[in-house]
Amino acid sequence: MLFLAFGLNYLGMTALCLAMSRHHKAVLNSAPSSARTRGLRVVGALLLALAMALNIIELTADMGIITGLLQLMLAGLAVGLLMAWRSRWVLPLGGLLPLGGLLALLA
Amino acid sequence: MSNAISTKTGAKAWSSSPGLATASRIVAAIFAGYGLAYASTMFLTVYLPLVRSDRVVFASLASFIVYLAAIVYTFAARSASRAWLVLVGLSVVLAVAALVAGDFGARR
Amino acid sequence: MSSAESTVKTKSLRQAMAGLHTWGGLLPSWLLFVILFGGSIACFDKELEVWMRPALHPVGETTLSLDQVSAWVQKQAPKPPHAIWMRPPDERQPYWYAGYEPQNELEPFVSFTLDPQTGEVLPKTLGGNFWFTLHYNLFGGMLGMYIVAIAGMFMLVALVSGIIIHRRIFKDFFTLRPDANGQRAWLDAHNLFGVVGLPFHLLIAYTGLAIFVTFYMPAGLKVGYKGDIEKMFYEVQGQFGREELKRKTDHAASIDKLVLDAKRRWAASGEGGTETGWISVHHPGDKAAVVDIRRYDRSRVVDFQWIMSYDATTGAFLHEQKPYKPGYTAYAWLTNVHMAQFGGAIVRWLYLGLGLMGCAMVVGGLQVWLRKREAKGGWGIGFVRAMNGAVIGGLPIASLGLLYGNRLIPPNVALRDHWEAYTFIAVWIAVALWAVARRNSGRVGRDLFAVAAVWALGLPALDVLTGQPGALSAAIARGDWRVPGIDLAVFAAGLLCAKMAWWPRVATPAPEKARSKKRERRELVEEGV
Repeated sequence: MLFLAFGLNYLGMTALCLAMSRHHKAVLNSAPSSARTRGLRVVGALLLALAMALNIIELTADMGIITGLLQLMLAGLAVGLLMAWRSRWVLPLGGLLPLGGLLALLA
Repeated sequence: MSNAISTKTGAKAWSSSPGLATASRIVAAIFAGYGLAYASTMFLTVYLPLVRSDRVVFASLASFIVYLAAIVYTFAARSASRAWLVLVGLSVVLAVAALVAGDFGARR
Repeated sequence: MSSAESTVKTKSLRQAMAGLHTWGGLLPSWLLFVILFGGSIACFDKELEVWMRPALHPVGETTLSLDQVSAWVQKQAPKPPHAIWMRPPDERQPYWYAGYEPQNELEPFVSFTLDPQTGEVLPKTLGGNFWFTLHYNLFGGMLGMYIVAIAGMFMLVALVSGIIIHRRIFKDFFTLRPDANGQRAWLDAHNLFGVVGLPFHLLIAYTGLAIFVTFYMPAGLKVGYKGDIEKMFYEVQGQFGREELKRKTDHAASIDKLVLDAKRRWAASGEGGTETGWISVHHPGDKAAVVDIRRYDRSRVVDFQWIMSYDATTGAFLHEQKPYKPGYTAYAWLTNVHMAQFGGAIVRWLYLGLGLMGCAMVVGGLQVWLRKREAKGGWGIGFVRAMNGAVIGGLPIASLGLLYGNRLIPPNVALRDHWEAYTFIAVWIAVALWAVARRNSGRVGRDLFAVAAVWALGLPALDVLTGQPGALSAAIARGDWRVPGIDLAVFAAGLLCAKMAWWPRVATPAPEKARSKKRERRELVEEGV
């Protein structure tokens, strides 16, 4: 479940990142419309909240909030580094990481 | 640093040199800042509305934040002398308040 | 206040904070790197301890009793000790860890590592504790602890002043432009590592200071308890203690039986488990000797130790620790959040990642300082270059050197741990001399990456060649990734170093967009004075 939570943290951070014009242009070659920006922000926030919830379910609020925050920060770093050097991987990983987490959870 | 404006209005002879003023701020931040942290811990140890063991712990844990705020303030203050005045003044007030209560047995 | 006036004020505040950030950050940065790197590695202290004791059987079952170990430790002390401490083997620590605290408080704790089956003292090694000690006192005892605290305070100041001078915290959250000019690219990196990890950096610096708060800020003890530290600990922690009677006794109750009694009492609450942590005997051999049995509950951040105290002579139950009061709960939360002993391996990996992010923040900051002055000229460039190579290159390479020394020094050499320390120091000095001598060559970084790469890539081979035959594959077959995990992680770091050393990315400067001079100047304010 923690792997899935990290995947969702990564996806949520990716959404928040793409809500910024510069990064949207870098990945999708176009500036986002204002509706899209807002949509990405809402989706990103929801994903991060969901990831935090999974951490809390797995480890109780006591430890889950801490691991959730740590995951959030590392996911943000991962998005930042990938945007700099491997921006083509940003989106595929946004699908692969949560999917891998889901498979790990089901396996 | 940007205390060129403030030194003119402050008209303090010793702080007319920016190097000296900065040195003064550094000394104030390290020592007067710690003094304020120490005095605030004394004060909170006496006056926090908790049982003694909790007062001591929370007062001590807050000391690092007071120290941090004091250091940042020292460099943000309009002049070095003002920073000294505020830090030392506050420390004296807090320490006296703590000692008075302690000596008269207001809180144990 | 007019808006023009307030703009002047914020501008000068930002400049004052930029000065504080630049110089208050530069001064402790190498020390901070050592502390942050040591702490990051220390997340895996027990795993490294196992790696550094290849003779050890990996499963922590023991045939020794606490009574045997306690009697043995007492015999090792030349004079009756103040206390003895024992930690039986467990899953993460498959060996006995025990030692004594001498009467003289200034003398250090003397510890032993015992084979859980035979009770023999294992060959000496600095072990995983090495990085832990480096992290919290730099092997400098009390003085070192204060130096680390000062560095921690500097870190807090640098973080807060950094927040104040960073005018685009959210706008530049994910921004890293490696193709920009050197200073800009490094400033991006410094900001990324600092801002994205900010909650962790703030929390780890603050909680690190909080652990030894009674040493750093004794005002509460002086005012609240008139300096009576025993009384304070008793009241704050709800812990039992009593004075030595100076009357000897040969009789001693069985500690193993006392542990069973303690477990029965813990089990009654139905939560937190009954695993034991540290077990201590204060004033052993005295009529007033006390056995304290602590619980180890890793299922939550604040682990209520629920210390059970017994009379060591009669075995009579003396005292149980009262539930933590709010103050001690807060303190325990802060210290435990720092020490990351809860939650298992996943938490340790997360802490390692964020700790290294802190190291990267420090390195990024140093590079910003350098690039700015390399472009415009300035004082101290050679010194900072030399220090960067000596410390940032030196410590990781010397740490690898220690692992090599650990495996290559024969097990029966006298003072084996000293030879390990000499290896570490010698490697560090060699790297430092190289870095100082070639500081202006512009090649020190790549040279040191190459050395680190060779040593890191060779580590798995070293483990296979000098470890017990088949131990590694047996561990993997068991699903125990602790030792192979170290080899793999270091190998991966080696690949990264190899890339940096032999295939460095050639920067392809992006076409600079025409920008107004005004904007350029405004941005430079953030980049320090």
